This record gives sequence, C-alpha cells and structure tokens, in this order.
Amino acid sequence: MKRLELKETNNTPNVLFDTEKNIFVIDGKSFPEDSKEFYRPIIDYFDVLKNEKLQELVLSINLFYLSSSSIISVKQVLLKLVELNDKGVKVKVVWSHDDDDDDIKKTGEDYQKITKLPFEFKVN
Amino acid sequence: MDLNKVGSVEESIFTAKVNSIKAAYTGDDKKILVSHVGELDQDKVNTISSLVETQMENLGVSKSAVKKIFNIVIETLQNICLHGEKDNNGYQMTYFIIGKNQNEFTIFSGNIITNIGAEKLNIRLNSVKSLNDVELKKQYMEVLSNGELSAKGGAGLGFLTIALKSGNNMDFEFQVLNKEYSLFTLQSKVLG
Repeated sequence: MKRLELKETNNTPNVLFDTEKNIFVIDGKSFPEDSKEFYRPIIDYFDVLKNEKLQELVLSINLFYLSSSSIISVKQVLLKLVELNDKGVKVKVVWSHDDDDDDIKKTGEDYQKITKLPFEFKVN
Repeated sequence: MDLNKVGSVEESIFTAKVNSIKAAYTGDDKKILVSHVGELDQDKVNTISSLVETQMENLGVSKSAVKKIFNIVIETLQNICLHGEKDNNGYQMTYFIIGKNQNEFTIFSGNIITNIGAEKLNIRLNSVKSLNDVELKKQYMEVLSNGELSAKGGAGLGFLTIALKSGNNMDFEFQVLNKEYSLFTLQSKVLG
C-alpha cells in the first residue's frame, strides 16, 4: 500500500493518494512559495508506483487556481503518469473546473495536448 | 547600500514614485484598494492575495476579472519574492498597490534590481510586449511544453501570464538609483 496525504494550506492544495482505496486526488489552490519543493513528494510518489503492479490509475485534479510555477510542476506530475501509461497502466486524468472558468479548462486542455493522456473534463 | 535610509537619493526616488501613484487615485470613482510598502515574503503574499480577493468580491467585480487580477497579483508578488534584490541589511524595498478608476483596476509594483539584471529584463519584457495574443499563447505553450523550474523556482511563465491576463496591457520602467541598482516598476490593467 502506498499512501500520500498533504493537508490543504492557504496556498497549497489538498493531496490524497492511496493505492489501496484507489484514490488519487489533488484539489484546492496552488501557489506555493517553492513549487519544486511542494510537488517533489508527489512526483516521487508516482515514480515509485512504476514498481507496483497497478492496472488502472485515475488522477482527479480540481485546482481552481494555479500559479505559473505550479503549472510547470503539475506538468511534471502528469509526465510521470505518461511513464506509467507507457508501462501499461491504464491512466486517466479527470480535470474538473468551474462552469465559468475557461482559463482553468484551457490549462487542462494544454496538458492534454502536451501529455496526450486520456482526459475527462468535468464541470463542478 | 542602505535603501531605507530616510533622505537618501534611493529612498527619495522610491517614495516619490509611491506618492505619485497614490496621488493619481484621489477624486471621484478613484480609489486605492490595496497598498503595501516594505518587505515581502510568502506570508505577506498570502495576506495580500486574500485581501485582494475579498475586496474584489465585495465590489461585485465579475468572477473572471477577480481571477485575472488574482493571477497577476500572485505572479507579481512571487516574482518580487524570488528576484527582488535586498540591501546590505537584508531590507527589501518594494511597493505593491492596486488602484481602481471606475471599472479599471491597475496593479502597480516596484522593486530593486541590479543594473545588469535590469538590462536583461528590459529585453525580455520588450519582447513579451511586442507579441500579440496568438503569439503570446504560442510562446506560453512552448515554455509550458519544454520548461522546467529554474534553481530559484522561476517558471519563465510569470510575465507571459501577466501579459495574457491583462490583454498585454502591461507597462514597465527601469529607473537607475545608483551605479549598482535600479528601481523596476511594473503596471498592468484589468477591466472589471
């Protein structure tokens, strides 16, 4: 079982990853002072998952604000999912956004273009 | 160099700048919504950004405009935290002001930068400013596709984000303070 939980703060999102319950969620707002440091355990988590026998992984992302450095860091998280996908894990990203938030929707579409992962867009 | 020494040339230029911004927002329909002069760290970024959000919502500004302003505020403040120079005593001379003139919101910021840094940043900002919306988005996608965070944690997307959110309504200036340092000022506008 691999689990990672980071509680939401004023400028960082709530993160809950649990292979046993098959839950992978990032939600909240993201503008940490040091994005690299904040996202490092998240990137490392998916790196370690490469060695697990995993058939399917659905990552739900519901971020209503991302700073520009967070945008780069989330891309790096998604690139780890690409590696898992290439290893045969069935990966999907569920990207949620507010109905009237075109910018966040577009950010999801940018990621879809770059990673070519299957994305499901959901309106909150 | 002691930047906060009252009466020094540097301090006079800085104070004059802050006062002239504030003076431009007196009169009907004009208001200073947020004003922070002094040092910046992440705690202050959190405080200022949540104050901005509350103020905008109270004014009944549309959600999309609030988001645009919030984006610019975070990018501007975090840029200063990452790159703003400090004086010999660790003092960071900065200002951050939001002015409202009817439905136009202007985000002003000023911080100290080395003269060498100013030259580089001037080239970078002039190039961003010369781009139209399609070119901005194209460059944004290029940086997003190939970009990694620098050692300092910069993404290379900060000024592109400010330009995109303000519809490239962004102006900047470098004012030489002494043989080492300049005052870098930036302003961007969003319609509420």
